[in-house]
Parts: sequence; C-alpha cells; structure tokens
Amino acid sequence: MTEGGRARARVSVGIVEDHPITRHGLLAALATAGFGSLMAAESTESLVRMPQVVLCDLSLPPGCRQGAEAVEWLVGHGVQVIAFSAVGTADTQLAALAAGARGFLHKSAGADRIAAAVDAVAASGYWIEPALAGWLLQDLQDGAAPVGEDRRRQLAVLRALAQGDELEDLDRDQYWPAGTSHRVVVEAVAVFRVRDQRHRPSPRELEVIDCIGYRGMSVRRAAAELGMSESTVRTHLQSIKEKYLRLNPSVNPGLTPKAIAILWSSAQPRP
Amino acid sequence: MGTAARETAGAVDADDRPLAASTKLPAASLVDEVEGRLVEMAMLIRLGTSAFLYLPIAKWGLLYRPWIAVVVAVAGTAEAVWFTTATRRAGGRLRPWVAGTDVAFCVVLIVLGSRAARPHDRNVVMTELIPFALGSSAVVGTSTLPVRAGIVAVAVMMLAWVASLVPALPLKTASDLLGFVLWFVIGRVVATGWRRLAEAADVAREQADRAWLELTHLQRRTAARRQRRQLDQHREILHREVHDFLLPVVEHVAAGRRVTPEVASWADRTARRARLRLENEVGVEPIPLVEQLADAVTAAEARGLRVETSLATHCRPPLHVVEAVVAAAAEALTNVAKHAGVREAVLAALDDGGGGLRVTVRDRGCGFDPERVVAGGGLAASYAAVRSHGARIEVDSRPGMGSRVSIRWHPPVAGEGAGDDD
Repeated sequence: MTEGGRARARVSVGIVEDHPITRHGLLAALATAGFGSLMAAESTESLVRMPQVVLCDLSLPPGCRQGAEAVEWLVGHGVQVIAFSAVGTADTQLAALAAGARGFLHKSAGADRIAAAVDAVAASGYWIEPALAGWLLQDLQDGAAPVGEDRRRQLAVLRALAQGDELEDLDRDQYWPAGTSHRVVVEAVAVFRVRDQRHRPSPRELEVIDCIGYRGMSVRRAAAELGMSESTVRTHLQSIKEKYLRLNPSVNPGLTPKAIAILWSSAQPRP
Repeated sequence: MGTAARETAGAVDADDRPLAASTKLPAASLVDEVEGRLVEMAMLIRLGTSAFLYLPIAKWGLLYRPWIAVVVAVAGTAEAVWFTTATRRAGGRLRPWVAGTDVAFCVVLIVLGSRAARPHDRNVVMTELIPFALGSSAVVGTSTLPVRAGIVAVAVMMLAWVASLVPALPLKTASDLLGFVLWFVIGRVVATGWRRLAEAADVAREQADRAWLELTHLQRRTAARRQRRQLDQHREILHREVHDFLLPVVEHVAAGRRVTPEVASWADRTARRARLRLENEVGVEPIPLVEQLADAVTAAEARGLRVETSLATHCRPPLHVVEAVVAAAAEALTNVAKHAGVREAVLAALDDGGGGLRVTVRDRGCGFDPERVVAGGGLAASYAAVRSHGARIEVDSRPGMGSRVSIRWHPPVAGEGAGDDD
C-alpha cells in the first residue's frame, strides 16, 4: 500500500445523505478509493459517532437539520465538513462556507474528485472549486475592505482558483514559497466569514426589516407589532443601515435608516 | 433598484414624515422645531433681562422709595419664571395670551418702577428697566400675535414709558422708543422668515416622502411583473429540459432498456444542462452573458468536454460585445476539445476591476508554444471580432502545462470613442 493509501485508510469519513442510492454510491466510491473507516447516516441526528470528515448533503428532509444549520452543528462537534448538493447556487455554497464548511462538491462529481476533496479537507485544507472561488472573489471585490497587500494576494489567489489554476501553479508562477497560496485561501475564507457574520442582520433586525421594509409600517407601528420601544426600533434601523452600507459602499450614505431598510427588503427575498 | 433611484429617492423618516438626506436633521416637522427654538429664545430673553431689574437696588441711597425697586426686581423675576412655565405648559408654543400678559405686566412694571425715584430723577431707574421692557417688545415680535395686535401692544408700552418719565423727558427717550420699535420689528422679521422657511421645507419633505413611496411601489410592481415574466420563461425552459432531455433518458431506463455508452453520455449531458438551468435561472434576473456562456458550455459538453464554470460577474457589456466574447470563448472550448488531449476545462467569467470583464478558458492539457502556433480559422476570426470591440485576448500556454485563453474587456472611458457603448 502506498503512503497515500495508508493515509486514506486512517481517515474516518461520514456521509450524511437521505437518498439511499446516492448514499450507497458514495460509500462504494470512497471504499474503492481506499478510505478505510466509513459510516453513513440519513441525517446529522442519526450519526452515532463523529468522523473526521463528513460529506453533508445540504438538502435533507424537513424535520432534520438542514443546509447551513447542519453544517454549523457538525463543525461545532469538531468535524471537517464538505457540503454536498445537486444544486450549488452562490447562496447555498457561500452559506455553507460561512457556516464552517471547508468546501463544496456537486453530487455529479466523479469518484476521483470526491476522494481528492476528502484528502484535502482531512489534511486541514480547503476544497474550493472554481465556481465557489468566483463567488468568494466577487464577495471580496464588492466588500469595503481596505486595500492592502493581503487583500491583493487574496484577490489574486481566488481569481486563479476561479480560473481553474491550482494552488501549486500559483506558488510557482508568483515565486511564492510553497504553501503560501493555501495560507492565503485560509485567510480569504476567514475574511469572508467575519464579513458575513458582521454584516448579517440579526433575527431581531430581520423582523424590523420585515415590518418596515416589506410591510411598510411606521416606526411606531413596528414597535407595537414587535413589542419593543420606538427608540429600540430606531437603534435596530441604524444598525441595519451600517451593515448595509458596509456591504454596499456605493450607496448614498445620506439615506435614512428607514430608506435603507426598504432598499434591503427590495434586494433580498422575504425571510 | 437602480443606483440613480437610490440616490434621488430622498428619504423617509422613521415616523413616515419626510426627512432630508441627513441624519442630523430632527425627526419632528421643521415648523415644530422652529417654534421650539423661538420659544427658547423668548424664554432666554425674559429670564436674562429680569437680572437687570436688580441693578437699581445698588443705587439705594439715590432712590426716593427704594422698596419699590426691590418689589419690581422680585416681581420681574417671578414673572420671568411664570413666563417660562406657562410657555412650557402651552406645548412649547409662544401663545398670544402669554405674550399679552407679559406686555401688561411690563406696563405695570414700567409705571411702578419709575415711582422708585423722584420725578426729575426717574431716568436713574428707567435706564436699568429698559432691557426688560425691550425684551417684552422682542417677545411680542416673535410670538404668534397678529401684526396689528402686536403693534398696539408695543404702542401701549411706548406710551407707558413716556408717561413714566414725565415730567423729565430727555433726548434719550427718543432712542428708548426707537428701541421698542426696532426689537419688535427684528423679532417679527426673524420669526416670520424662519416660519416660512420651515413650512416650505416641510412641504418639500412631504413631497419627497410621497415621491419616495410612489417610487418604491412602482419599483415593487415592476419587480413583480419582471418576476412573473421570469417565471413564465423559466417554466418554458424547464418544460423543454424535461420533455426533450430528461424524459427520454428516464423512460429509457424505466423501460428496462440497456444503458449504452450513448445513453449514459446523453444522461450526463442532460444532468449538466439541468444543473446549469437551476443554478443560473431560478429566481435570478437573466444575465445575457451568463446565459450565452452556459449555452456555449452545453455545446462543448455535447462534444464530450466536461466544463466546470465559474460565472461570478456583475459586468453587463453591450450585447454585441457579449456575442463576440462568447463566440471567442466557445471557440477556445472547441480548441480544447480538439487539440488539448484532455476532456476537462474550466470556463470563468469574472469581474476585472473598474467595471471590466475577464473571461478565461483554462485546460490542463498538452499545451503549445504560442510563438510557434498561430491562431487560424474560426479562432482567428473570433479573436479579431473581439479585438474590434476593444477587448484584448491573451493566450498563455506552455507545452505540457496546459493553456489559458483570457478575454478582457473594459467599458470605454468618456472620450475614448470606441464603438462599444451603443
């Protein structure tokens, strides 16, 4: 057995997937690739013990933890998660990454690619495919992060990944010490997660957006509806405005918090 | 919502009252705000000038009836306190009856205060009373008393002033009387100007508010119509995908027929088509560039190439640029399928900074030496078309290291005169 084969035999891999055909197919593919310790479950709730790496379907049935929530729960239990889905829109992939996933795989991915992704993640790395790299790049470009050498490197690395380059190619082309690109990816993901958490409206702020943005209530009515004081609603509106402006630096900062709440509601599907 | 709309839509205050685009402006209407400021000014005048009434007490030895000076000072202070309290209780408005009472008190004060000195020495006391008396004139000017009533009130105070000085009427009396008129006029002009400005601003804010709400409703209606159109379009596309691609494969397998390599290939292509549709169309405004690139990918996959995509761009070039760029990308994918010796490629469409676009086709095939291999045929034609629209093409390849074809386009800057912005 090769060194790589021995390494795979030591990695414990779990599959959380409700569809039996996909579940069995994945188990077979991973077993063929040489992974020795395999387990499968229909949901995160059914996992009997925590493996090192989990391939977690993002579309589990109602009643189970789903999507980013399932990822977050697994990550909270010390598991390295690869999100897995038949449909990988920007929102689903970025939400999974924000929740702590270390990468995303399409269900159509071949056995070689699945094995490579598990190898990368088991070695505490990331598995960022071109589509996800492109959305991370877009997120970083849209953000109001200060321009600096770190950001320039992150943009360069994400752009290269989005264009199909590999990290080793980039280290070589840029004359960087080996492993630099990987470190930059880790930094870029960390920046994305911080941005995502900092700019995500809190549940209470979402309620304020719902009342004022979607339902067109006044502050007084929203306060009565939500059972809070008018000044608290105004504080939430101010916070919503600050988050929105950080995410959308081109928007006129003179707009009032209420106008920003309406803008936010126009740009987002109703929660 | 467009940027222009965001910037011109004004703003709506948290209480559905109009508000200019500045967070420093008060939430209440400007008329209320101005009345509040005028009242503060009047209270300050009344409290401040009441302090002058204590000065005659310092001339105790010169006074004929010094106790009157004490009574006047105490009564003046009490009246100033009453004025402040009554105004606050009246909702922060300077009511006509409060201003009228202030004038009546001032008249009594003038007459009574003058009696603290002997008839020919009354100016000794009256000089100290003048700030308080002129304060009343300013209060009447800033109040909401009708102009005629205000003039009558000031005239009464002027008469009381002259009567109090009799029999001694020095030349200074004329400047005192001029002071009454002047402070009334100043108070009136300032207060009326502020009130008119505030009313105009409130009307403007009301109009901006209405315009903003109408704009928002209009945008929502437009968005709803657009969404309906998208849904119809999406339904039609899904119908085609299911009917023309998915059903034949599923029915073939369901009927228990043999899965030949051709059927497997067709199923693979069908799955890719379905995924591209799901990821690029559901709930997303159709983007011509992404749509056309997705079609180019489907065409390449029909030739057996597996294409990973990274379509993350906000860039919306003119349609003819899109067509030229997509044609060049499709040609590059064809070249990969024909010459690279691999069955996989990556197609990326990314923002290139400054509103630009970068489309790349990357393969990890056999590569070539760009100095020895010159583009010909369809590639040469599509590259030329791209360049004619102001885009650049870069080919990066090395034998054994794969190839990368990058097509970069930037919107022409003003005055550049490129024909890409029509």
